[in-house]
Amino acid sequence: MEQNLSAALFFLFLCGMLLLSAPVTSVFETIQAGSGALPVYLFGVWLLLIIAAAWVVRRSASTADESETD
Amino acid sequence: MQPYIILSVSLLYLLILFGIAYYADRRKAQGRSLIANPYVYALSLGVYCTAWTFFGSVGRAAESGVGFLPIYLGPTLMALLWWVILRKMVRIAKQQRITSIADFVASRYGKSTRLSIAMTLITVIGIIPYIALQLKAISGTYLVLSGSNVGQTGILADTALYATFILAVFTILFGARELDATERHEGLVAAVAFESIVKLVAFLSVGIFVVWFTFDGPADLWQQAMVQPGLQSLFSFGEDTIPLSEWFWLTLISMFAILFLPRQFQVSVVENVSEKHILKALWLFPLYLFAINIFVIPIALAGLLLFPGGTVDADTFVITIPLFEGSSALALFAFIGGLSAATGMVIVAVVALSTMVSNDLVIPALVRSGRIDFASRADATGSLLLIRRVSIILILLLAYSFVRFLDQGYSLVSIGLISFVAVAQFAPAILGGLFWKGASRNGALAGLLAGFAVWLFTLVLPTLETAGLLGSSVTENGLFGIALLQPYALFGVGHLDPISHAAFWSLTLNGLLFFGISLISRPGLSELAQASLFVDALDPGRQQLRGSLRPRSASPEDIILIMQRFLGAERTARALTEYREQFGTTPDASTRIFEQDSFINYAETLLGGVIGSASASTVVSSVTREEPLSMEQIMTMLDETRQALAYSKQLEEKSAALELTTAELKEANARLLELDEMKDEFMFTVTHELKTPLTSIRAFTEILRDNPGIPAEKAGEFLDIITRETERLSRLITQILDMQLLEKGAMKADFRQTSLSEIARNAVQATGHQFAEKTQAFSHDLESCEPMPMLADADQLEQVLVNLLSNASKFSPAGGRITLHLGAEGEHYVIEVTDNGPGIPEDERELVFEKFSRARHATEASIPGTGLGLSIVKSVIALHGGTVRVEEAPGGGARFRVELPQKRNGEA
Amino acid sequence: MPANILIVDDEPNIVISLEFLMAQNGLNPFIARSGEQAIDHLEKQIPDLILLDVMLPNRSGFDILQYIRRSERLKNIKVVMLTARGREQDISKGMDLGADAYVTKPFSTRDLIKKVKELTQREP
Repeated sequence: MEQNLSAALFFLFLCGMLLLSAPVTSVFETIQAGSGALPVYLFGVWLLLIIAAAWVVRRSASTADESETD
Repeated sequence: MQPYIILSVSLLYLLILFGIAYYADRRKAQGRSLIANPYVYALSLGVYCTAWTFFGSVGRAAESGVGFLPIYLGPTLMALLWWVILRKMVRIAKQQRITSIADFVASRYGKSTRLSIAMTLITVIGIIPYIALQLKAISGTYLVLSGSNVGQTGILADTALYATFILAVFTILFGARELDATERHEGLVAAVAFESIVKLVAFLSVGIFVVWFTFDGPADLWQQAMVQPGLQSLFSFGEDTIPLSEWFWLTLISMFAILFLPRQFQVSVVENVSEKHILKALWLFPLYLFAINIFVIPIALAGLLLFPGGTVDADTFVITIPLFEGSSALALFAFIGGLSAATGMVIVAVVALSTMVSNDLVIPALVRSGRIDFASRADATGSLLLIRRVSIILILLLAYSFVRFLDQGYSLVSIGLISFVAVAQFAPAILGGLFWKGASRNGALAGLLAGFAVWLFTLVLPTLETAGLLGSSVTENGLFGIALLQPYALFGVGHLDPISHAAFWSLTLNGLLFFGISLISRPGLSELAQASLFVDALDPGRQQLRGSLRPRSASPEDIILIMQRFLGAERTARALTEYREQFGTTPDASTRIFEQDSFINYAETLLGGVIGSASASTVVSSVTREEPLSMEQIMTMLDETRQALAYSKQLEEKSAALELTTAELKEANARLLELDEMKDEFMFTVTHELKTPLTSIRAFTEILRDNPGIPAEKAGEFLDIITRETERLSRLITQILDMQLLEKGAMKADFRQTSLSEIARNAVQATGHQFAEKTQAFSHDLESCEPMPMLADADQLEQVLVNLLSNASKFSPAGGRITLHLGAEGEHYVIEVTDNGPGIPEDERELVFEKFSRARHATEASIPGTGLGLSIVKSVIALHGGTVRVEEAPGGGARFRVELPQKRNGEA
Repeated sequence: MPANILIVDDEPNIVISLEFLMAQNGLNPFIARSGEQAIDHLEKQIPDLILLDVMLPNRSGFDILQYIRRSERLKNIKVVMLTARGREQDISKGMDLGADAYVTKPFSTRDLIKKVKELTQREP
């Protein structure tokens, strides 16, 4: 479980790096600022990352409980 | 608002805070820790959100839109790696009793004093502006709230100084009331967690007030804002707001900040109660950051709408909007929230810094200069505490003077970011040291110093210049007038903002030197040992060379004396008890060198918690000698290493052993099934054997009953048969019963002095007719035999011989040859019964002695018998302390060989 | 003409008793002490009925029964199985192989004679 949990979290880290930095965010250089798309996008990705991390941790904890003891 | 209201509420708040800390400390003393849960841990990590977050985020959002976000997105990303990185740091800190980040780095690179001094200086210099920022925020917001004139510097000075002294008192109360070798402060953590709640609730209250009371919800606020010409362009990347390059560098240095800021190291590593808490904190803490930032943009927009034209400093919107809207209570609450954010940061950061200053600067200096007298038996714990307290006061005064002299209109965020870049310099040395054994002390030191130098040049120099402390204009003309050496455009790289520019150059140079010099310099032995302890921390089986490479020796008394001086008598007594529990010995004069070494290491680690690892190393080495390693000691160490490596191998072997066991179990099961089958077969045989004489008896009895006129001669013949068959039946039954008894061990042998040759003669007589019937030649050597006296159950032994002889007869063909041999070999009597029958295949030789096994032969070859004879033989011989086995006779056939001890155990 | 009865058993005393019983009841007994002897006998003479022990040396009674039922020449001989085994599956195995009756040892002499007479008189 240890290994898989670390790997899953690292996967999320890479997703976050990809979605929260250039070149992906550079899309918003061209989108009209008045729409408010940029803050909505950033807060949205942020919240998704948090939920995904919580889900990954919880799932790993429950599988660890099933197999008992490490 | 009246100043006395603000002051008394603030003071009340601080007292509540102290009450919480006091309560938590008492709970800890009772063994019912208040902070041993992941939620308090995650909340205490919220110390990351300082006055900068509370006031500065809004200010930055007002200037650059989403530009405040990287400071929180970076930590969110890093939190995803906590399970790998932070957990390792926590494990190491616990193993090595590390209490500060300077100690952490110094320990990793062989307890280097130079490194710990460098780390401490960089941290103190880097963080003091950040602490100053909090003081400035407290005094600044106080002035706004009380409505005083910001321009009056006299009052400002008083307020900030006032705050400084109050904070110094509280910091000492929280962090330096007493000396603890583990350097853990449960009360402090509880207070910080509480502050995190207060600042979050305060900020959310202001946010809700602004969005739903000042405006009609977020949509209304957004629409009003977007009508304003300047505000539209806020929400995109670009030179006016935040360029993508700055976005990247801010994210990166924030990722490092969440790990390496001294206050974060303090709460996340030093104060960590359980590694498991990290699992929950890695999403709870980002969630906290998310919550505290959700209203930043709305408040900033509202402020810009309410105070157009920059009449009000955006950093103060959180307080000025409620004030402007007439809700002074909410403004006061917001002020308290900001106070929470600021005091939390100041107290934790100053505690962490003071630990470093006293452990890594002052004490080593005192030790080196001989000011700490080792000959003295005086308790030094009092002076240690004094050093710690003076450090706290000095650090706060330094921060205060920074406020005084550098308060030239820098925004909260920019001062904070300067500190971020400073601590980001730790990244190569720590991250590299955590995962790469080849990282060396020289590399770490070179990288750190280079990064720090660049930081000073690119960020601090221009600040000093702006403050008017430097006459010449280096920023414009470059150092010594060299254009390539401009602080904001080093080597001509000029298109970056100052923070990104500084981060880029300092981190690049730092990393290059760290890796480059590590690659070309060979780490020393003590470095290698520490490298393994760090890199393999999560895999203790692989931590090599646990023993010192140079075992040290010292009189344990000297060591204990030192411990008493720095830990106090009580703590030392406890430590010695713990040592005894852990290692099973008490150190004394007779202790061997290796044990002395282990005790010295134990004491040094413990001392390291109080005075830092480098000082502890210096202090301990003043009374120890290094012993040259003997060959034997090297071998012992290599052996330990080998064992550590073998451990993982053993795991593999265990699974192989498990497979083997499974196979054995299967085999045993098959054997059981076979036995079961045998038992079934045996029951058939027994039934058959019993029913055969019964059949004859019944048949002849009925014949005699139904035919009264039978001739007397014939009747007599039939009666004879009946008698014989009855005898046969009873013999069979006796045998079966004997077997049962033998099996249960219930049959008691009747041991008497007897003669084995006599017994053999009786047996031969009893079986003679069997050989005659099958015309088998039977020979024996009984005539020439000695009496062979022994203690035995004569009846049972006779039965054994009868069984063996009739067995031989049964399995030999008509006309076969059977011999019986009796003799003495050594201390044994030997009986051999040899036949010239088909013999017994090798794989069945063990089996023939098993009960029931004959049953199979009986059905196959239909040789009469119960299958019990040989089993009885085996049991009886065992009862007499002897052995029986079957072997191949010369020229085929089977030979049963019995060995009986001439004298029983205990027999004279 | 008295029916010819072949007694196949390896236990001498049982053979004696059976031989006496058959003779006493006007039947004509022949003796075989093993399966091989029984086959040898069947080559020379076809009896009306065989008293066949199941537990025989080398070739079991079931073997002999199967041999008889497969042979065109012998298949009409009545066969009474004699055995110490009284288990259901042995009885049904004997019946499946075509035994006409099954007698469990130790047997009642009267029952045995009755069964033998029934079987030898049913078909002249």
